[in-house]
Amino acid sequence: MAQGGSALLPRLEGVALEHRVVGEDHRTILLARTLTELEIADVSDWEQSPSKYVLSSLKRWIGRHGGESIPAQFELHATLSNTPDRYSCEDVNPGRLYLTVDPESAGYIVIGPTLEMLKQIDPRLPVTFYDLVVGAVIRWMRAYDYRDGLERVEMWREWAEGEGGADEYEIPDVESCIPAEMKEEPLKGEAVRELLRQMQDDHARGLIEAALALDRISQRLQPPEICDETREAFMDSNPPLPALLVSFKRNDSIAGCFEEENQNMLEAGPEPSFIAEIDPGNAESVRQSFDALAVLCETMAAASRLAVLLPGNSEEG
Amino acid sequence: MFDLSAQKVNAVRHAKTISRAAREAVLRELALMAEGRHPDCNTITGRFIRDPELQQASKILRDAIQAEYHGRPANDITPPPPAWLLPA
Repeated sequence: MAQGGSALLPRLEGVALEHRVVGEDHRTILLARTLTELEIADVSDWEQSPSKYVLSSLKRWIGRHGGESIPAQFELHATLSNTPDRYSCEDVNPGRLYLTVDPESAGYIVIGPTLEMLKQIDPRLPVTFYDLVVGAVIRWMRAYDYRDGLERVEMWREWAEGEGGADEYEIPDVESCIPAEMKEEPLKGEAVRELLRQMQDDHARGLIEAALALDRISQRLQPPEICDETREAFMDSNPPLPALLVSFKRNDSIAGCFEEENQNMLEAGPEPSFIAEIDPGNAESVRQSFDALAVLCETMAAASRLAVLLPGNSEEG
Repeated sequence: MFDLSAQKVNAVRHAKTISRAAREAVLRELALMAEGRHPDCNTITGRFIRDPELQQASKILRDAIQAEYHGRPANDITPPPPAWLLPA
């Protein structure tokens, strides 16, 4: 600049008007360090960039915990971010990172033919199987099943009552598509193992063993709790998107209710299905979050492998 | 006799030593990054990200240029930090 009584501004023609700087967040550097110390990260992934390194470690971790089996049935998306809500981008807590998992679309299981087959072995086996399989998924991700369908129908009935009576509207009959054996009492663990010992049918035995394994995997850990501050970020959010739709027959009333509800699921941003709050410099916090993610992945991988075994599940239509 | 098991043990030990050294090297680089002493942090953009005074100086300059071009009132201009001299 010129010397003198007044400042002379340099001419800026031809100079870019806007620059964006992508810097490494301090939290990412801390997380990269903790993942290295815990040996969750593989140093062969290091390319001088903590964010790339953390991303590679996350991918590697998912891969080590059944990641390859998941896409056969489910389309899940894991995110590591400075905000728990991918729709708001608000930095809720400057000392935290958030590991979230959301479905991009819902997997679909038609479970009726399997229940029909299991009924021949024991009338209480279908509901036992259903509870093992769907219960395992629900521990980690949202599944849409007949209970959501019934709730939806109840809501429509209440609305129709106020609009001149339910008879005036065509409301799906979810109740009638629930098999009668679903009202039985589920068998206890020892009774299932006893049945397995006596079972002649190899296919049925394989299914029950896979369901028991799925249940065991899903219970290895509890999903992480989130603090009130994070919970508040979802005050106005929709419920999590379902990762799985379970109906008894293909395109039955439950699937119909899901299709209907699906139209409004993104009216407000949905809450993530899985959230782990990470204090990136705290080894215990990082370990717990990644362990929880591992159980989620192994559960969904086991569910994905089991879905392939279900009779009638892969038929199109 | 050729002792294969001893060879294997040595190979595993060697691999572990290399792996430990690689991990320590990564941890050293990350520590330098966390403290802002990594060579990558000493580029002009690296210094800009970490230095609030540089950021404020660029805001002052930006505001001055905008005021010059668009005739904005001078009181809209970002105030300088304490002890800084106002432009003449």
